[in-house]
Amino acid sequence: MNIFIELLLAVMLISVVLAIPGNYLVLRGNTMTSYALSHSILFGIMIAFLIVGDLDSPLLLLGAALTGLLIVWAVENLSTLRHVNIDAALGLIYLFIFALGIMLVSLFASGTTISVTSVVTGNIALIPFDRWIFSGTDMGPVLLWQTLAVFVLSSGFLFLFRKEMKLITFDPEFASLMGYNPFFFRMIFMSIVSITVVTVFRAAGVILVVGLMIIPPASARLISNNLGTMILTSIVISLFSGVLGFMIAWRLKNVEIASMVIVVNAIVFIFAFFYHSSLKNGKEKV
Amino acid sequence: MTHIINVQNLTVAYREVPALWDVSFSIQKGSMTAIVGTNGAGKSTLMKTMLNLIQPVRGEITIMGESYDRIKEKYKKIAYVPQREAVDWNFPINCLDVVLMGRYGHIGLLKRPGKKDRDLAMEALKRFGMEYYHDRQIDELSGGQKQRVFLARAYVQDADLLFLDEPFGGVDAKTEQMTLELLQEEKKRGRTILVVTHDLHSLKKYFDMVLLLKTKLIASGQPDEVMTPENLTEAYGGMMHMDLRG
Repeated sequence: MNIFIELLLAVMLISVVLAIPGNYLVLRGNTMTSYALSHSILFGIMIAFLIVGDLDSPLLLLGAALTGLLIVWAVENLSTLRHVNIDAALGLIYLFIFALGIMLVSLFASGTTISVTSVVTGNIALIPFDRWIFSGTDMGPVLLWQTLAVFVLSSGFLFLFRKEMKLITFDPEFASLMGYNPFFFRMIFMSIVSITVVTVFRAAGVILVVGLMIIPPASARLISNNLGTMILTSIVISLFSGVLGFMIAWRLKNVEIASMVIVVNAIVFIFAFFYHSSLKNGKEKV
Repeated sequence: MTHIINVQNLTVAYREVPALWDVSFSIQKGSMTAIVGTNGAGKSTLMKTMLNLIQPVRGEITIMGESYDRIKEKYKKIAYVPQREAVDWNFPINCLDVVLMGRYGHIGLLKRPGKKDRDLAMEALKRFGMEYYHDRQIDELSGGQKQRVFLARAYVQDADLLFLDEPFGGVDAKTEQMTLELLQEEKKRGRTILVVTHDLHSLKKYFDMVLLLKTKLIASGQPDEVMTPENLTEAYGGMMHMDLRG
């Protein structure tokens, strides 16, 4: 495989793996969770780094995943409190943890591959340099395989439990009356989101993680009227925007791939928005 | 007479502020009970506590002789129509799929609803006059239509107990009338029905029992016994000048 194909595959996989769970975040009005998760990862990585003392240790990812789960747990608890403005509380938490993370980077990790810029935009172009060598054979970029594994886990869970996830997202009280524990399903789902974000984070960065989790599902919501169609539509939109954005960035050479992909996604959203409003207007006239 | 629900000394509080204070009552099997009181009197809290959605500070609730968390296969025993604000109406789902959710308890984990479940759901929509709307998005429905879809969902559960939280809020008189008639039919089939309502006019005609709440239980019993001027003044303050004889 040459670098172009490897990068294209990576962009496609990242697009899909983020867009699928994003549908449930958008429907629950929980998009702030993706901000909180993506901003807290740096802190988790740095804490793990300070304990382990090795920047290449897989324990760093574990640290990040655990921090993510902690954040999710905090968010879930906040949302059960009355009289707490969740938006404000979440905004406070994630900026606080992000600031702590940046502080730790500048104190202990200056001169390493971790930098604030790499956290924000990620670096997709570096994906092909980290390769998986299996008993002497070059299997391709590590990240490609990791993302594929997360994709299987995440879409497997959401497919098998699509009935349950629909119920707990739409009407959690009714779900618990029916014997489906909404908290249990939500925690599993949020753990999967956390693992997903941690996995693609090094390549994708905050911009792509947040953008791909929110924009394609939001566009899909505007033009579809059931959950299944919405998820499929978000996959198609995310793939289309990912491939197109990547091609343009590849052609222009000096453009960040992540930013270009988000720009294309946002343009698709604008089209979806106008399509949606024209449908609505049409209906009102009839 | 058998008591299907027993509530003893129930106290519920939100952050130290009591929402229900030392409430006790029993409900007979096959009866239709109204829970009335002002906003904030604890009506919905009472219903949700009975459904184990809220944990009480003190007190005991038994349903069919069991505490709620020990009842197996609750979906067969208890159906619940929540307040309309409790549901996300922007969710991309059509009427038939909402009604199908009433079958989820019967279907079990990992399995999909089958043709039989679909037929039952369609039948329920028909019963509530909503069959032509089966593929309509829920956000396109009027208040009364939304209510009927939720009644249909409760109906396909095939439960012994039916809990409805303010089913008549923002609903036209015709839908309310129709709902009450349908509930009467369910009652005749041996179901026990509890309704949180603000409509005091319908109490005498349709309900066997009234629980008048104002954090404490002011009175309980037949509508005539409960809706006395003294009780109403205590529950609603001086605001009640309605003629309730009709």
